[in-house]
Order: sequence, then C-alpha cells, then structure tokens
Amino acid sequence: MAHVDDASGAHGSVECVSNDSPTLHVRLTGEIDISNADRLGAALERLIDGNTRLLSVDLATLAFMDSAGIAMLLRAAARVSSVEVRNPSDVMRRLIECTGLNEVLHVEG
Amino acid sequence: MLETDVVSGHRGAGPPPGPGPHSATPGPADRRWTPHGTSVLVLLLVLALTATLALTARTVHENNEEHLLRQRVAEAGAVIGADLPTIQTPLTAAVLVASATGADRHELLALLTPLVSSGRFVSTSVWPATAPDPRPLLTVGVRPELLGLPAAERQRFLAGASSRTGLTVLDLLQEPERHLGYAVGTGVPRSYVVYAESAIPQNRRARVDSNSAFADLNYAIYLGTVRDQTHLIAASVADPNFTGPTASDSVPFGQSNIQLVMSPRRELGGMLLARLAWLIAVVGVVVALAATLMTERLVRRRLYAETLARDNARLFSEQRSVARMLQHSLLPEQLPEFTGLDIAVRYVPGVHGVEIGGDWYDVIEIDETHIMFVVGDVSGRGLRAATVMASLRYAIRAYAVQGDDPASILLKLTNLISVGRDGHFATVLCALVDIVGREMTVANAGHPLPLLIADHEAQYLHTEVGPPVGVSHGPYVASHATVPRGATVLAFTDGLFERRGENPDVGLSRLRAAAIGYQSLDALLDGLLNTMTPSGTHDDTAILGIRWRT
Repeated sequence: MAHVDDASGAHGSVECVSNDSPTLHVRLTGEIDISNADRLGAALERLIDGNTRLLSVDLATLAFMDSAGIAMLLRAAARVSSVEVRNPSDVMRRLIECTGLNEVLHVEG
Repeated sequence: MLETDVVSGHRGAGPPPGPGPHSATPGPADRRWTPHGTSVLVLLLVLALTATLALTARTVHENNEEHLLRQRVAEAGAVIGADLPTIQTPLTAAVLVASATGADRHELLALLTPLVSSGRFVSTSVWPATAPDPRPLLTVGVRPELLGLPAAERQRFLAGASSRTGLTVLDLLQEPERHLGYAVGTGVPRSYVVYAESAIPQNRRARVDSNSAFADLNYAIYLGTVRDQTHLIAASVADPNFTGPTASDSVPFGQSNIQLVMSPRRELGGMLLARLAWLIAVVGVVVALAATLMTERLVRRRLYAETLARDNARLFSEQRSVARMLQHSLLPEQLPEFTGLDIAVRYVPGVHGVEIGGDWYDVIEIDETHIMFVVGDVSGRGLRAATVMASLRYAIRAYAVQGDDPASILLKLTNLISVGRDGHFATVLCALVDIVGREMTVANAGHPLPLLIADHEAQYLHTEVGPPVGVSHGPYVASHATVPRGATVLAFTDGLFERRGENPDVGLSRLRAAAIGYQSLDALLDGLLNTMTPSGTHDDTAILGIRWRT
C-alpha cells in the first residue's frame, strides 16, 4: 500500500485489493491532487505488471480527485487494455463525463 | 531571455545555494571576524561573573590565611610563654639561697653548676645588689658579658633587678658574643642578685625544624618593642623584614617583653583553597569562550536562516514572475481585429505555486469573415506542460491555416501527444466562426462547454464531447450552431468555475447566472473574474469571449 502524506499537500493512498491476472483491482483512498498525484501514480504503475490487461479502480473511499488525479489514471490506462472505474462519487462521474473520458475510463456500478 | 533553471531549479527549501550572484543580502561568510553584539554581551557577562567569583574566592582565602596565621602566632606565643618559667625558677631559687646563706659559695655552686653544665645558660653569677663598681661574687661558666658594660650601667641594672621580685632582662649584649642576660633579685635592698646569660645565635639565624608544627612559618623574635637587628634575638631567615602577610604576638618577659613576628612560608589553608581563585578564573574563561562561541553560532544560524528565508521569498517571487512572463510569451500578444466582432481575452495565473500552467487561448484569422478560436488546458503544471501547450497551440494554427476543420484538427492533435508517453493530456475547444453568417462549428476534446449569452439569457452550447487529446484517437464530431445578433460566446478553462470537491455542474450553474447583465465584453470578462474567483483561484484561468456587434 502506497501511502503518501505530504505536510503541505493532500493525503491519499493507492492500495492493491487483488491481482488476479489479467485483472488488477486497486483502491484509491483520500485526496489526490497535484501535490501527490505523481507519487501515487508511480505507485499505481508499479502494481501493473506485464500480464495486467484490465485495471479496475475502486473509488468508494476516494474523497477528492482533480485533473492531476485524472491524468494519473490516464497514464496508468495507457499501460493496460482497459480501465474500469467502480463506485465513483457523483462529482467524479460528472468529471469523467464532462471531459469525454467515458470511453477510456469505463464507469461501473 | 529565459533561464530554464530558474523555473525548475532552486525550488522549495533545498540546501542553501550560498550567497550567489542572486543574493542581495550579505551572507554569514562576510561577517566571519565580527562577533555579534549578543555574543560579546554573553562573553562580558560570563567574564564578569568569573571575576566576581574569583575575587570572592581570593578574599575568602586571604581571610582564612590571616585567621590561621593569627592562630599560629598565638600558639607560638603560648609555647614561648610556657618556656619562660624555666629561666626564672632556678634563678629565683638561687637568689633565695644566696640571701639565706649570705652567698655561701658551696651551696650556690651546687645550685648553679648544673644550670650551666646542662647548657641552659652559658654563664651564671651572683652579684651584690648594690656596689659602685659591681663585680660578681661567684661565676659559673664563661665570664659574664655584663662586666663589659660601664660600671654605672651595671650598677643601675643590678639595683633595678634587686628591687624587683621577678625577672629583669638586660638589653641584648652584642660583644664579644651575642648574649641575652637576665637577673633575679629578692626585692630586698642590699641583698644579692643572681645573674645568668644565654647564648643567642651569632648570626641571628635559627632554622625551624621541618618536622616542627611551625615548619610552614617564618618567624622573628625581638627583645622589647623595637623590631631591628639590634633587638633581634633570632629569626628563621636572614632578612626578617617579611614581605608577605605577617602577624605578631607579644609575650611578657620580665620587665620587658618578647615580640614574635610570623609570616607564612606557604598557604596555611592548603593549596586547593589557595588555587581556587585561579581555578575559577581559568574555568570561567573557558566557559565564557565556549558560551560566546555557542551564542555566536546560534546568532549566525538565525541570521543565516533569516537571509535564507528572504532569499527564498525573493527567488519564489522571481520564479513566479518568470513563470508569468513565460506564460504570457506563449499566449498571443495581439488579437486580430474584425469588423462586426469584438474579441477579448483574460488570463489569470493561479495564486499558488510558481510553476507555469498549461492553459491557453488563441484566435486565428482564416479569412476576412472567418476566424477560429481555441481554448485549451494541458493537464499538470511546469515547463513540460507549457511545452506541450506551445506545441499544441502552434500545431492548431498550422492545421487551421491549411484549412482543416475543427474536428479534423483535434484528431490530428491526438498524434502529437500521449499521456502514457508525455505524462500530459489536454482538453481543447476549437471553434470555427463565420462572422457574417453568425455560425459556429465547434469540436470539443473533453473541454468545458462554451457559454452562449443572448437576449439576457445564458446557456451552454451543447457540443459533442470527445476524449481529451493525448488519451485516445477521438472520435471527434463537430457541432453546429447559429447564434442571434448581438450574441456573446464565452470559452474558458475549468479554473473559472471549478471548486475543490464540488460537482462541476454546480460551478457551471453559478457561472451561467453570473454572466447576465453586462453591457460590454470587457466588463463581462472582468466581472466574471471578480465574482467567480473572488479570493483568487487555485488554478489558472483563461477566458476568451467573442461578441457580435449589433
């Protein structure tokens, strides 16, 4: 579990729920913004291995994510065939819709 | 014109770069040899404290020595006083015998001989108490030096002695040897006087035995009250004018007295107490220096931290201004002018951070009646985001001039960047405007919808929204709209309406309500910046507005 606590920035974490190749389930918790997105993104990409095809991201415990967090997901998405986003908040759901990312970040649940 | 290392380097509170060409304030190295006032104060305070303590220790030591010396002199005086009866008693016994027996030679010899043979006296003799030229009736031991004195003096001495019952002491005899002479009379006139002489050191020296209780003292013993060589009986040193501290005691000796003067040869109270003052002084000076150095270090560290903070603040503001300058240099300097259409733009950098943002706008003149306007937002911040922004902006200009329509342009842009490779993606709104026909062809890559304001109403122009550039290769579908006369169209980046954690729909509704009621395009843009981002915004904000003149 990569946990990034920055004194000045957001508190967020990336957690591997399960890795049943080719599906990787991860959970994002807390807040993700420009202050910690790079480090969390690096942690997320370390979880992805050569066999990962589907990245399933659970956002149930995510409090906040801005465009830097979206960019983090999109960078991870570029390394797998498909990304699904589970349990997004209404805000997250709208953010994904507004930015035309439905086709890249498939919202489930 | 721009130093890229200023933008990306020296960020945050890294290790101090030291006083460099950027440093306007003198660094600590410049004042290496000038101690700070606080350090000097500490030095002086500790030194003053040390001096006080050392002086106190010295005074205590001196008082103690003086006290000990007085004590020792009194002890010595008591020892001498206890010795005096050993002179007086046998002589008193002899004079009583002389009186009783009429100076019987046999009896007196029996009494006086042991006194000389024991070494107690060098000479004992019996004299008539009164005679014009007194001569001894009987002598045991050497010839009395009393005989060397003039007859009148002898007579006066013997007369005086006979009139007393105790010991009468003669002034010191110097010739031929130094003798101390004393006599005992009966107190009855016309009687006898027993006289004795003791040898005293010829050179007036008598060393103190090193095992003696008084080995740590020098002394001088005088007969009478005058302290000079004539009256000096004996001393432990050649020159009894002691330079150090002295104490004296007077012991009664017949009609005269004995002066005892003593001076310590070394510290009576022990060396530790004697050296305590010096010990305190040395330790105090060391402590003072250490405290001064430590204070100096702390003071310098604080000054250095303050300098560093000032430098950082200055660097921060420099970087901010550099970032703004770079941002503005990447945005169009001048907008083209058209008859029948007002165009206005605003760009506000975010209040936080020093890094350049990735927002941009552009207006491209296609022909006399057509323009293309673009508003875009590259994800993230920093030089790389700005580079991506610049490449997208100039690519769009090139495609537009070639005659590509908005949807085709966006599709072509997807070949330029990739979030997987570059780490950035971009939302882009690209619109081709027919000024005369008031028609718009809009293509949207994940960007906020444009706002149409006409007839005192504001509503978002619903366009097809494709994925952001850099995420996937479209698809992008152009939307068409015809706007009323006097209509205003606003395109903007999300900094204008987004608030952290808030549903974007809420911010968009707020913006829609705020866009009503402005007379001019400039007033509208300024008003929106004021009302939508009243306390400054975290994110960069770009707004582009076009307005058909009526």
